[in-house]
Amino acid sequence: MEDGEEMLKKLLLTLALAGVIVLSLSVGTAAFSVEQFLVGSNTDRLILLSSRLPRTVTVLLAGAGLSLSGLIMQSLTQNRFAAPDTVGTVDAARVGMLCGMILFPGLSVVGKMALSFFFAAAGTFLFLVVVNRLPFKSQMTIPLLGLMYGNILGGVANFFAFRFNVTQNLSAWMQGDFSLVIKGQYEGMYLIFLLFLALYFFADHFTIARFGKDAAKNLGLPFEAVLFIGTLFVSLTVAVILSTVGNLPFLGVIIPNLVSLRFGDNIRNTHGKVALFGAVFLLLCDIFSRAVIPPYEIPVETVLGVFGGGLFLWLLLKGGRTA
Amino acid sequence: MKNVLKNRIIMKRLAVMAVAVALVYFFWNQGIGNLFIMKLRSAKLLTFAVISISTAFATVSFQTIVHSNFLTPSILGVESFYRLLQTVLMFFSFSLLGSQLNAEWQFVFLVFLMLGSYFLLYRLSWNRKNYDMQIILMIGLVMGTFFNSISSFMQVLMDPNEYDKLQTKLYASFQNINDSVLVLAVPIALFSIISLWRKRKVLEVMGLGTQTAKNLGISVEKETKLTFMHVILLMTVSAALVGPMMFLGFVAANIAYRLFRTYCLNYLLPGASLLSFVMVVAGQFLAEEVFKLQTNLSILVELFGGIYFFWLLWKERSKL
Amino acid sequence: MKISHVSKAYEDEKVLDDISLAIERGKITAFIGPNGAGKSTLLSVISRLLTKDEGILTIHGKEIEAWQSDELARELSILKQQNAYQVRMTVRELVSFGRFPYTKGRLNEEDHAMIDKVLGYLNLVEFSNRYLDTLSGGQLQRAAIAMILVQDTEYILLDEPLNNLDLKQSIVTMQTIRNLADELGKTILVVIHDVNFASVFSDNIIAMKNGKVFRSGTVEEVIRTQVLQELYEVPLEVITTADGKNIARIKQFNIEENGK
Repeated sequence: MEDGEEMLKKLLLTLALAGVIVLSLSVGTAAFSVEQFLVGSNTDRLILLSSRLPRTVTVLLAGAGLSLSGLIMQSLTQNRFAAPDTVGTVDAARVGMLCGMILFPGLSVVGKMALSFFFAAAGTFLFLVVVNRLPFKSQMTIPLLGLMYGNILGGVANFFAFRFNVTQNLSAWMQGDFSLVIKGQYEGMYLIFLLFLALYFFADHFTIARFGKDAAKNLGLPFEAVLFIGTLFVSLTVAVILSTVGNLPFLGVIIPNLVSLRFGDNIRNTHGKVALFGAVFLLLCDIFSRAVIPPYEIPVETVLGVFGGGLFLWLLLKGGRTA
Repeated sequence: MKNVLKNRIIMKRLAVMAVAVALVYFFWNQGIGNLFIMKLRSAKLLTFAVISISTAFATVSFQTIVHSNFLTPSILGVESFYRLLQTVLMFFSFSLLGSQLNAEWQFVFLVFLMLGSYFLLYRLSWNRKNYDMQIILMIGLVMGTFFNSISSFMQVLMDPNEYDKLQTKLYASFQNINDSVLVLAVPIALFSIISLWRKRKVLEVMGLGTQTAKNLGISVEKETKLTFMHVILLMTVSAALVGPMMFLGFVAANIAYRLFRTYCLNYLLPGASLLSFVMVVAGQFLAEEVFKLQTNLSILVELFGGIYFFWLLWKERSKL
Repeated sequence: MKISHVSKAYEDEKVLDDISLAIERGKITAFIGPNGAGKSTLLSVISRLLTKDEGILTIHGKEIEAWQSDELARELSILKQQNAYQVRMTVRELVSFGRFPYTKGRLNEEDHAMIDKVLGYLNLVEFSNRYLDTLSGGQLQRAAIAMILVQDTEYILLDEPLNNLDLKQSIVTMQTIRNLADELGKTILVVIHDVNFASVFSDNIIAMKNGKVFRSGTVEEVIRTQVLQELYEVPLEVITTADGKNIARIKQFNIEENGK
């Protein structure tokens, strides 16, 4: 009976996902519909394949990727509010991107991605190492410290950006916006599948990491190694997303928490759901951003800032300190 | 007793240093004669005094009631909100009004909006039975990100001219001090500074923890609200005068903690203010005379403040 | 397990000072002593949660540094108080993770059988699908012990397992631990604050003070008036009950006179 129910739920979710994807493919500046695709001309197909489809794929992967990254961060820090935004990953990646802009102008997207990855990994790892050696009094200390850390990195980035006159350039790159995603520029997103694999194979490792360093060591888990690998995968994901799309705030925090409220913390059970919810949520935000004031688009970052922020506040006020 | 004596000596020395830097700044390279320069420099010195005392008082008070040496008032989202307001003003005043809004009005508008939003937020988030400082801070974090995303959206839409003008406002600069704004700023700053000073014993007790403070008869929620209000006012005044500066207060406060080795705000508040003043004046002097204005002081402050933050974090890790 | 001249220092302070001990297998050894004596630190060093600075510590003849992490996890387990497991999962899910050193997350039949057995042993079957945050302190403690049990190690280290438990839960916990030694032959090291619990339920006692071993031996040898008075620096009296247990009887005393 339980199995049947599970299967039904999964089926419904998949249908919902499919539905949303179709919706996403239909909304946009150029007139387009599924019907037209099936019967339609080459131009229609072109729009679909070179713009809509890549965009949808990017959104899905970004949503899933950031949500899973948040899940990993929460495990590695044993803190419910950790995420790439609140442990400095995003800001470190930004420093990397800035380095690319200043030191190697004209660097390809791949190059920027690589630099971002390197800096993101280094910056996050540094934070995690420091943070793991500190005894803590409260749940909020880590995200607050992480925020300060991120602000400082941001400050450093701003300093050099200002100096070299690339501030607006950097802003534009960092702006979370899907409208520029087209075929030929988004393929890096497929790297996020590596993250999916990592989660599939290491789900239990991350869950145990969540028990804390001592309990994890008791079970023979190589804690530092898990920390390192987790950081690498998260940094890779963030670097890719940042270079392709820009900054997408809050996803890493809210999605895993929402899923955890309903489904618990056993990552083996929840990582699929986290990815799915993240993907769908972001897609809905993206559709919203396109549909609200046609034919103009609001950047997804802003939409996320509003909706994501609202959800985050709800989570905070609901659970309080016992969250 | 020995400590008190030591602290008094330190305070005197700081005061001497402050006066010395001020004099050097005032008289450098011109003697007494040029009325214009004298007027300019006095205005600047006054501004420096206002912002250094404001940020010092704001930071020390904030850190005392938040029980942490590592957080700054910027965590309340004040800076992000300031950036948002500036962005919005720039965006609309250019497109709608054709020219920039009068500086004084901008200032008034800014202060008004900051306070207004603060009170609004409080109505929303303080209807809970269990007041929790940490939640308030997290809310600040969320609001900060929220404001940032809206700001960056608008910034990308602006044309480069508008954007450049905006940048000068967003990065603290001591170059263009507007006299009339200064006139407005001083009384507001004084109001908050004096209020905080008079409250200093209450703040000390709150620094012992919510439950302890309540036990000693302090109505913690009310006092926190008031203190935050003053902190925000001071940060706003300082931001409006020269732009947002996250770490000036932080660095001054932490150095003061180490110098004076006491929880007593009688020393910490003026001590941090003096330190901050010395740093600002000396820094600006270096920026103007030695680096010939090639570099922006505030960004330097942020940079070194940030490095100092990390160094402190590492050293003090057991006391977090 | 052999502990030979083990030392550990933080800055200038020696928290473990030249400790040498032999631990008897299949018995319960309780560590008692004033705060700061080094009891918890010793347990952490034995379980490799902390590193020792000097000395030799061997398990089955092999130096502790030489053990692989997962090998060690199959030989020795430790339960400390810190976490209270702030995770959202059911009792059964938590306990299942105790099998990680063996099957790395892929549970097989043998694992499930073990889990079932332990849940039964600790009377947790009715709670097995309850979420951890719905449990009382005592139930949570049992769940944590269950997780240690399925880890199926010969050596079990427990750091102050009775904190925050009421009298009944404390007694039940200690009796469970006693059974582990008697029925399953485990070697158990416990750090306990309450001298009487240590006395009634364990076989051997190691009294520590100031980072050193103050006295070690059987319960009869260590739980004595003279020894305990010197250890804790308070007046008390050890009496022997009808069924042969030594109990410390605490006394009121004049603080000014005794000064401490």
